[in-house]
Amino acid sequence: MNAAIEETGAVLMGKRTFQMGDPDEYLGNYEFQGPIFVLTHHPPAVPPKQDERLIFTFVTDGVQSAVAQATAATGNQAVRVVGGVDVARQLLDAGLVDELHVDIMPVLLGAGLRFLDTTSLDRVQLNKLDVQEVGPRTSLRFRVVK
Amino acid sequence: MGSILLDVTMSLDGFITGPNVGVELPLGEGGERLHGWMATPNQGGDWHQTAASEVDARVKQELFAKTGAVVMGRRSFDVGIGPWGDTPYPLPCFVVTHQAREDLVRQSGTFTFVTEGIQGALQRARAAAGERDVCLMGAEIAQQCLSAGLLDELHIHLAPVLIGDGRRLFDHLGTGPIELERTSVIQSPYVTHLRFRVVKEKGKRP
Repeated sequence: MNAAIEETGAVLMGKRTFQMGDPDEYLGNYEFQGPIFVLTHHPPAVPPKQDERLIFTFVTDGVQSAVAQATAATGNQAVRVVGGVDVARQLLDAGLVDELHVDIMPVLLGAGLRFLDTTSLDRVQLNKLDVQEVGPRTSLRFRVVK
Repeated sequence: MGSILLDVTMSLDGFITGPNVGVELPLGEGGERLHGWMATPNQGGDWHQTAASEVDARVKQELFAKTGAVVMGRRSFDVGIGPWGDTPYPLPCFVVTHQAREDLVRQSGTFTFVTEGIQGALQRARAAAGERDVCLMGAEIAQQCLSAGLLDELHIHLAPVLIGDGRRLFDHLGTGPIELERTSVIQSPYVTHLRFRVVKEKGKRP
């Protein structure tokens, strides 16, 4: 997790992911204390608590714009997309993803929200970069072939 | 007694075939991309014996060595019999079907058609396998066994492709969460061979 945070220069997330907890709790508690970009059609009237490092930007004009803004904020570090699945799909569909990191937990849920539940991604080619066993988790990294 | 195991190649988005599976397209549209680790297209002949790398060959050999019988659904049989030209493994194969039918003897094994459902097929396969494992083929059979708590081991060859549509491995489970325990991870240049044990609650073991 520490390595993941170190390589991250900005975080990008969708509205629902953003609202999974109390937005005021990001400051000081969220594992990544840096620029956070939230894709949404309805930015909050009052931004959540932030400081000089953790700065929220609400992006209303689509994934292309969100990636461009987040990339500009990161320098040479990565933009980490933390969810949800809808944002991930849009980014993959637009060819904006360089790496796909998937963690597999050893449980079959049987119902719920599926990852990448769309037929439009069958053209996406992946190259396996790395596989690691971290406790019960199997952590896989792929590069998206462009 | 051996284990009941499922050994299957799955895409990163959870599919084991592409869409429109049929006799003409046994793996569905684009489904052949899943199986690149086992065979190369147009190789013909012993395609199930071929592998993309040493690691893949070893994984396949280990499966052959520990498997004693196969249970498959009627659908897998229908679309597989053409491309296989034989039994999929050189082992007794039991096909779960509603239609009784004479045994079908092939060069390296015999297909036996079982009309007593999955339980009946497993019973006969276990008897045929002896100490060795029974390997399942096909999503529907796999789902039935998982839901009924009959599966012991799950071997997934995870292919780095997104298929988008087709037959999902973990559809229609109709159960609460099923806990697994990862027992090994083997990397080959292309796929990731993952093995899991199904964690069973005490007293529920069939």
